[in-house]
Amino acid sequence: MKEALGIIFGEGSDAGLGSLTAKRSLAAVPIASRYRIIDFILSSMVNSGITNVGIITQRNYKSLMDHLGTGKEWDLNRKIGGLLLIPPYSSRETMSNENGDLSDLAGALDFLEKSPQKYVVLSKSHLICNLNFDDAFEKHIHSNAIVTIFYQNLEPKGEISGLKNRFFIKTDQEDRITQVKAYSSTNESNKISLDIYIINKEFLIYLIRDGLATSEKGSLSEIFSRRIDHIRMIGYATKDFVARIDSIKTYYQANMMILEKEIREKLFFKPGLIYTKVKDEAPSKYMDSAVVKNSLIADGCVINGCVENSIIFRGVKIEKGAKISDSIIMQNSEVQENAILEHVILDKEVIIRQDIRLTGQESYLILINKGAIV
Amino acid sequence: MQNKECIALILAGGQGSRLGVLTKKVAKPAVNFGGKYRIIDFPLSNCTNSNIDTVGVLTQYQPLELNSYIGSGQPWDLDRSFGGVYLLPPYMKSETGIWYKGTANAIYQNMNFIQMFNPRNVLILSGDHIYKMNYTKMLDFHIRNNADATISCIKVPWDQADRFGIMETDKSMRISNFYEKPKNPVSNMASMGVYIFKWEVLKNYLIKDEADNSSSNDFGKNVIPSMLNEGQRMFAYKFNGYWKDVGTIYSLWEANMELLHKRPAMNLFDKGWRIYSKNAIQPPHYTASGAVIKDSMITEGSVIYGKVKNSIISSGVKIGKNSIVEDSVLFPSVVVEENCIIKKAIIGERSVIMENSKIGVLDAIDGQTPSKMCSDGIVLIGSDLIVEPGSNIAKNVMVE
Repeated sequence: MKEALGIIFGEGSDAGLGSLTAKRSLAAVPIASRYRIIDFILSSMVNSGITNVGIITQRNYKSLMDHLGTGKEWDLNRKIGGLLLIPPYSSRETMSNENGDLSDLAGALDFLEKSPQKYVVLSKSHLICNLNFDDAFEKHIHSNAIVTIFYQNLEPKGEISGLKNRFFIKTDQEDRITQVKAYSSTNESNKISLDIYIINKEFLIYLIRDGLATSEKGSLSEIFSRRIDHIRMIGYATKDFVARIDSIKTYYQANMMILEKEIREKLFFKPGLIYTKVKDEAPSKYMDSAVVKNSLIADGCVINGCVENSIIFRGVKIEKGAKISDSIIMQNSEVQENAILEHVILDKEVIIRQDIRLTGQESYLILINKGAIV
Repeated sequence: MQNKECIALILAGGQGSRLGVLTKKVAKPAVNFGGKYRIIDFPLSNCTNSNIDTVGVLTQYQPLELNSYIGSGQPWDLDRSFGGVYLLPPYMKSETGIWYKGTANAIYQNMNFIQMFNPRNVLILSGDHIYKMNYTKMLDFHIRNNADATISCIKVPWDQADRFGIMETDKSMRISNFYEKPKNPVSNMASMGVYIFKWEVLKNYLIKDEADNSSSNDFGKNVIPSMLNEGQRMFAYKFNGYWKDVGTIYSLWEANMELLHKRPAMNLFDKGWRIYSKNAIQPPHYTASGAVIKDSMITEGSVIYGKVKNSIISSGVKIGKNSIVEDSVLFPSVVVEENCIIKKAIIGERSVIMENSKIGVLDAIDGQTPSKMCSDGIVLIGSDLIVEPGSNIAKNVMVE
């Protein structure tokens, strides 16, 4: 897929991850013991042969910059192409046009124009997935499409939380898209858009320029919806596991789903590997009193206590007598003796003092801010 | 031309024949250690942490895996524009090309490389020791004494002193005598094989040594004694930390086990002195509901369903249900299927122990000869092997 470049939005359209995104962009939220959310879509692009990726950042992008560095972990520290961070862009042209994907894309105009590739794989970063775009790309070219929208078939056709801001598409027998519509109570389609697109570059450049001139607002879904009769758009169904992170709840669920063997074995290994920043931690150490059940644990941890159904990030210390269950403990946090945590999310570098007890519910998770001492 | 204050050369050509099947396909410095490291990560990381940014790695025996492991040097932050890491195998000169004859000859053959950086001092290291050492402190000591050579030394047990180069010094630590592997040691101050030389001085001795046909071109046997004889200023630098020669199966196993102590002398968790390595691309390790893990180190990518006690589990290892692994070192990507018992074993990369096998349980089995390489009951299984279901392998056996 040398003919395509990649663009990833650092933010989701409506990230509601509370304090997890207070000081970092959604793309940089830690997930699955040693990754950041963006690792999954970025690795998917790299594994599909895309070697030129621009990442659109909006606010709080320091931690994202720190995470991505020169892009070497993704093999994107290239002379030709590679990784480009596109910081917020404002000029007289864009000042008046602040809300909308097109204004965010304005900063990427130069990048788009100067890149030799003719197609763009464009995605939001809030997807936990391991995809290969080759097949969809072939279909895109084969069917002379201007835009390909990735979707999943939802089944059963029942209530799933967080559909409020999601878009559904309808397609004809040849997969041509006939409707792009926001979810409503009268929703008829089960084809839910994943916010991943393949777009002909010239058309995307035209859209951005046109959007700047007319101050067109809204998300790409809305923008495509308005043009449904004018351009050839096709749908591409993916059957792979895709988790979308748009709330604390979906964030927690995605982490817990990775404890399942089938999902884990696919998500981390097939069709490609998921890359992330290397930290050079020692292997994790289990002491005499450690009891660990059904958990994922990264390197650099020292475990004296009990851990069950939990996600433990790098460099976490769990002291004797501490009991952690159904929780997510981020990097370099420390849980001291006899503390008890249930349904808790600890951001990075949190210290839980001796004998503290924090009990949340699956429907009411307790979230502790970065660096807090409880 | 810029000058470097000090560059390092790591002697990584050793065959490591006492490590048996572990060095069948790789050089000793590339042997796995501590779950995610290789032996050479220790001197390389020491260089990085000591701000030595130019390192030559002298390879000779089975260099392929070592070369691809070191690559551009990026994991050790040694991918530099001026300096960085260089792999230095023996090569053809205009008329002749010869293998490295000895440690001193290996440096002699790379004089052009060293000259490129025109360093004031060269640090010579060996690629087969596990230790953390700040070479800057040793270099400061070397410069303060205006020494021509400084040899790092450590106190060893008296009964082992005859295996090392042994030094006698005066009060100022100036070396008065040096005995290579003496039968009756007069001191237990042993050379660690870590030297700093003034480059101008060393250069002359290397040329002289090369011209001497009777020399075996070795630092300990030839170059250091001859420098001492001619009255050069040579000092001993005392090192007090953990230092381990992992040249035998037993010492390699023991060094791995020492990492599992409550407060290990070799602390891999020290953030001020990290040991860098080329990290495998692996997800976090998974510990299943039925797993029991005690006093062990588990690396990313492992999946544990069985029982693990007092063992080192490297990246990508799988241990099946109802299997027991005790006092063992499992190298990367080893698979232990269900219902196996593994005791006091070192298992090479990617080997598969199929179900119902017993390793290191029985003292002796007819038809299995204990290996001379193995001792103290340790079983050694090479890399890329398949141990058939229901196998039984006795203590002290080496499988290749």
